[in-house]
Amino acid sequence: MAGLAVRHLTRKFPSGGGVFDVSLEVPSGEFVVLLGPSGCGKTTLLRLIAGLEYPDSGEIQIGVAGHSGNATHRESIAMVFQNFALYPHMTVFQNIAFPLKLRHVARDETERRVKESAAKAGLTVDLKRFPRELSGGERQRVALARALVREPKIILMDEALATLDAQLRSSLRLELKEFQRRTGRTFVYVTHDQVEALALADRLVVMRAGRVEQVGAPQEVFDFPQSEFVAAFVGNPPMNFLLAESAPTRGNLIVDGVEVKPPVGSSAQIRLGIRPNDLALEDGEGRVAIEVVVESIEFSGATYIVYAKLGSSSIRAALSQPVEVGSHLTLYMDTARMHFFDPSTGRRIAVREVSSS
Amino acid sequence: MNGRAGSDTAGPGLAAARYVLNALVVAGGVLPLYILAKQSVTPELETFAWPPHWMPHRLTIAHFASVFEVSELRSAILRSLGVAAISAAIAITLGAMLAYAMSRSPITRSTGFSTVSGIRLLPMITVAIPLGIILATLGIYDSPSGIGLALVHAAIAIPTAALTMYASFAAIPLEIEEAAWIDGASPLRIFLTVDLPIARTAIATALILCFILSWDEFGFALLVQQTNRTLPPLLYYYTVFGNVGPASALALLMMIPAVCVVVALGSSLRGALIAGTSR
Repeated sequence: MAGLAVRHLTRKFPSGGGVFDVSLEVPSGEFVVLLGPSGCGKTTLLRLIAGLEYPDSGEIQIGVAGHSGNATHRESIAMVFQNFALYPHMTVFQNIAFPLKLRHVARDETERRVKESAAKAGLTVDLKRFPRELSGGERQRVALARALVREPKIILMDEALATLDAQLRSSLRLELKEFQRRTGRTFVYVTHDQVEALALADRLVVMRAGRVEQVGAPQEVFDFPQSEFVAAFVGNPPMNFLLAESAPTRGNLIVDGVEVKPPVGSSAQIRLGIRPNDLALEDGEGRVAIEVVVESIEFSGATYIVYAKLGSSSIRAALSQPVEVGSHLTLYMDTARMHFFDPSTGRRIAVREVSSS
Repeated sequence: MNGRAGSDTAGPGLAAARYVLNALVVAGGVLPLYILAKQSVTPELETFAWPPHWMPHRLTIAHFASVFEVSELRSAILRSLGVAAISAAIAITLGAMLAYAMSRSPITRSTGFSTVSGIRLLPMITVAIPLGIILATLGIYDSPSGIGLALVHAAIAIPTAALTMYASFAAIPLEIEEAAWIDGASPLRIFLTVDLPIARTAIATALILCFILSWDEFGFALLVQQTNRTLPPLLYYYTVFGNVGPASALALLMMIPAVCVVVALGSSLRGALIAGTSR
């Protein structure tokens, strides 16, 4: 079935941005999220897939036949823009019907298909109204219905929820995922919001500086970030990074005087990553104690985010109960959930295989 | 009229001064119109009476009747309408394309603006002779239809049309055009079915401005339509030959299009005229 394949795609901009040698395979019916900070090339990649930009080199393949930017290619994709890009002078009905009108679809069939996609998109407003009379969420649904009406193989979405308020965003997020499941379309969704990305994606593509940093299921990317960048970008509050050194005697890792799990390789220095949620007040199996000084504390609703000093390094912990600012505290790190990175390359060091041996 | 916030705090002297000033401004605007209207309905003897009559003593419709009786006048009205309509249509068509091109590329924007301001800065009378020769060569100099003058007026009006519409096109997000492209529309289709309808207020404004520009235009009309005249030169001849009554009647008639526009569009026109600046 119609998936999407991107092969060695390069598009350079005079400013230095763009995408460089990006390859990606998307099976049909998957919800793919392109995630990355602004300027990482995720929107450029989406626009290349859409045919709004031409690649310098490389290939985009939708379904079986390969194209880049011609009319046949355009037939198989639809796109929802950040600001929805509805036609302000047309009613909701005319907006949704516009792609059909361009294809000279008969009037009663147009009517049937417009109503059908409006229903699929959860649009309940009077179709005779104009976009300016609708709320942000309703406009979003109109844009979705318009994308769906000509039954594209792939629906592209560019930060499509970014302009909505937080509450609406989370409810529409659920709906969008449900919508994608129901329609069985392939979705490519661009966002810089890692919460949104983790929630929506079947497959997460983390991008940085025009290149793909890691591709995987959200859980996989979260649990096994392949680089320091991915580790820092995915997850909230962000992961702690500590510079560790090998102990001269037993080859153990030492972080500010604390010995942790036997490490890997022989590199003198190693970057240790630990998520704030993997630090706890209680001891347990496979945990190492560290002594910290609490500097400040933030209530985040579900947890207390504690900002502390471990020697000279700063460390963040998400704790279940408040602690006193200025107090000395013993925190326990879950060694099984530590991440190790090579400080010179930023790449992950596969600690699991090594430690099991 | 002076219901501004400042009137509460201002002293009585200032308030009085404001009334006087307002009265002067209103008088300056209304008085010439009143005199014109009075002259158009009073016999010419009374027009030159001394001391002047502020209220007409005798009324007549002879001047208006003469305007419609003289065939030269009737054909001039039709010719003026035709020239204004055709020139406005041409100027809007070409001006919209120019404005759109200027709104979509930095290169066309800079060349567009310099060309447009160049045309506006050019003393028009300096091109009168070449224009006359061109029109004569084309065989449309002083033509009864006034098509030659319509082309000249269209050329003059294109900068006005383009500048009036430019801001509205520039305000249309590129995203909307890209959405239309992805929906399957060709560039021409996008321009016609997306950009033009969105900019329709500015287009209507430009249409009115271009129409009035031609309707009013005197210099080229005098030169190009030597015998087959349009209204402004005709009014001029009426005035210099002392036909004050018919000239006044004609002058009032010439105001009708402007009055119609203001009455018909009212506040929406005011909005449209400033739309380009504030959006």
